[in-house]
Amino acid sequence: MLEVEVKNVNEHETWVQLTGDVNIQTSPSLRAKLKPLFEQKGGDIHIDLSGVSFMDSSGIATLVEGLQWARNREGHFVLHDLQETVNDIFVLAKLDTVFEMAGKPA
Amino acid sequence: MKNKLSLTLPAQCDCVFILRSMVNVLCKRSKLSAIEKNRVGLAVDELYANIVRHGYQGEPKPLTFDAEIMHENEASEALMFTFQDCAPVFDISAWKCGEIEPCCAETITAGGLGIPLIHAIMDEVKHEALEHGNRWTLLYRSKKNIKKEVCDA
Repeated sequence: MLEVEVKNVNEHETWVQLTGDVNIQTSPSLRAKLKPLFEQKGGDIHIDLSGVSFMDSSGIATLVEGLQWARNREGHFVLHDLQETVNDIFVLAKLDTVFEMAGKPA
Repeated sequence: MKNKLSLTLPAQCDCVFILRSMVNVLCKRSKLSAIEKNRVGLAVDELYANIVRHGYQGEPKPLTFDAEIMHENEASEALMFTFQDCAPVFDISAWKCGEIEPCCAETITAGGLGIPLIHAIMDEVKHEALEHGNRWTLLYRSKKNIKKEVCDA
């Protein structure tokens, strides 16, 4: 129900493509895939959310861990290309200005 | 009764997709927008997750779920969702029921967002302590201007 594809573009940049719903059932697998990335010493992590139409608070909590990683390591943790429904939840949760967000990946 | 769906299921994480399907059916019948449908689905998911994790602590005990379109008057209708569990009576005194507080990257913590989101989305959230369990009722009234609200935010 959720596909997570991790691509290490180079030593400074990792992209993660998510496809599917992020909820109580699928967020543990997302966390398991992202956790090793949060142990990196530096670099930036980019999350492509164009394939995600639904995300609950467990998914947001996992992304918050990424935000904390970025703050501690002076890296960037960027959310890309949120669908309108997912962006709405970030607005509702007043997190739309907390996360670094960008459009479609180049 | 044609606008009421009910089922009893074991409280397991993968069953969240069953509830989502039921919610989607009623949202479509009520002609809710994609944004509203997503919000309502989120609130139901969050309450379900709360019961699975905290009420039953991962044990697949039975949970009854009802989803219904209520005609409050000729001009308006609402969606009502009811969960009934047999978990220990939940202490909701610690729930954060007010408006979600803005936060920043320096102070944000992972978790604790589910209940505030339920309250932010639903018009009414009611908890009843039963002799052997809890009954939870969520009421959502359609907001025809929700798209504009989102665009203006």
